[in-house]
Amino acid sequence: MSAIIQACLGCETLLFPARLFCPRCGQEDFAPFSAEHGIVEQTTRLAGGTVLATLAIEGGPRVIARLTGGDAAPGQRLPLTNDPNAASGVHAYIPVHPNVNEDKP
Amino acid sequence: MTVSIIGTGQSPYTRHPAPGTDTAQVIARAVRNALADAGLEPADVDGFAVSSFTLGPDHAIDLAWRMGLRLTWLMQDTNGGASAGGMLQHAVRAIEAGDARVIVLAAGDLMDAAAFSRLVARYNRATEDHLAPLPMNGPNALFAMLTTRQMEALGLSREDYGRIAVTQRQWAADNPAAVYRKALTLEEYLDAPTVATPLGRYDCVPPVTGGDAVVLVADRGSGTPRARVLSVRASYNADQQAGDGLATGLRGCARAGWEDAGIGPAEVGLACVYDDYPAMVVAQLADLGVQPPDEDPAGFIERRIATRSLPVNTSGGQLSAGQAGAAAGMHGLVEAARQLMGRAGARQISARHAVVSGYGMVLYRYGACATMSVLEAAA
Repeated sequence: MSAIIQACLGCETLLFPARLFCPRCGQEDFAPFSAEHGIVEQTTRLAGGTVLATLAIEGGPRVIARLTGGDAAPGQRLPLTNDPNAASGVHAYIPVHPNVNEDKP
Repeated sequence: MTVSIIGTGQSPYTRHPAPGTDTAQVIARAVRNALADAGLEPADVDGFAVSSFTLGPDHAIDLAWRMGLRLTWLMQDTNGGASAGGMLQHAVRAIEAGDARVIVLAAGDLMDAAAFSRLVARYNRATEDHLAPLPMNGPNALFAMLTTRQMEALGLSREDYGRIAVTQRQWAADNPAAVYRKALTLEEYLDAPTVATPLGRYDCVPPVTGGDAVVLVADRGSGTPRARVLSVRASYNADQQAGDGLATGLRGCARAGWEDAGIGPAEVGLACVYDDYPAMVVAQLADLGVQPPDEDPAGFIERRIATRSLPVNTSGGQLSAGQAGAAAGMHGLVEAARQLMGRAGARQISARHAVVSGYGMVLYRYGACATMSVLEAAA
């Protein structure tokens, strides 16, 4: 289980959402990168019960996700997924455009 | 050369626009009212700028044509809550450079429930691809998490944010153009339905249909009540969305903005800051230096904002007056100019200098655009 983010081929900076030029080195060559986990920084519960979270990917960007399969507390390490119907257990679901999924290695 | 605002106008804010209302009419009404306030006719105008999320398929030139404006300077700004400062920055330079003599800046939107849903679903590519499908309908959840970060960083409580909302509602009581004017108590604020923890209903702006406009000219000297523009600064994408969003772009441009103005943040008698959420009021007042760096934020809210000894968002701000789409960026500029020109009615304060800030365009996690301007009363 993982979520696809973007890695700069010039300086290995991890990015999400995808950029056109690397903000660190200015290069424009990227490859998909499978990020497996993120650390929950904040969560918010919406009026309808949905729980969204900000997670920090180790060595990479912060991402916005929906928690599936249960709740989580700040500091918790969660598996990331691009699949809204991930298998059992708590996951952090990060939607990606279908075109991005096609590049999934 | 100094450039001044000599007229302001609004198209009445409303939660429920009459059937058939369209964005162009709303903006034109604000322009008409601003010109009347300045004592000018459409034929006097030679520069025009507009910001709107819902103007399409028309653009600035279509609007100019439909209002009969013959122009030598024209622009359209797409930066939402920061658009007023962006347009003002360009317009001041245009007048100084001789590209135009009389410039109208306008913004407005038809923002009913359907328009709001369309806007937030396709706000930008990142939203469309990565936020809307979560699902997330608008920025409340993002600013809920930003507020949590700010509460932890600054030691703020729900009560502190509530004091900002309650005080702005007190100002709104004296603004006939605000959509919510009934007194709000701290208890009502705290007991309001949750929108996205920790935000409740009164932390979130009510979308309204409406428009705002100002008229700018080269300073005419004495005899005309006006708001002189002492400085305008802007910051875009200051941190690549890689931070926590607790600092806005104002933190990087405030020093230059005050230097240009020739005054410091302690000298302003009015602050109109972009209040999409109370947390952003806190962030911008700190970034501008209006909240002194050595002062405790909770104490500053209680001692200066809640007592109204420092007037902040005297129109009631967007939290009480309403958020009219892209006009939300013009809202504070119109209010500051009205106060400095002595045209604020029952909520008139005595201030010589005002600072106005804009903030907006959430790229992925928080706003990436910020503008500040410093204005001075003259007559």
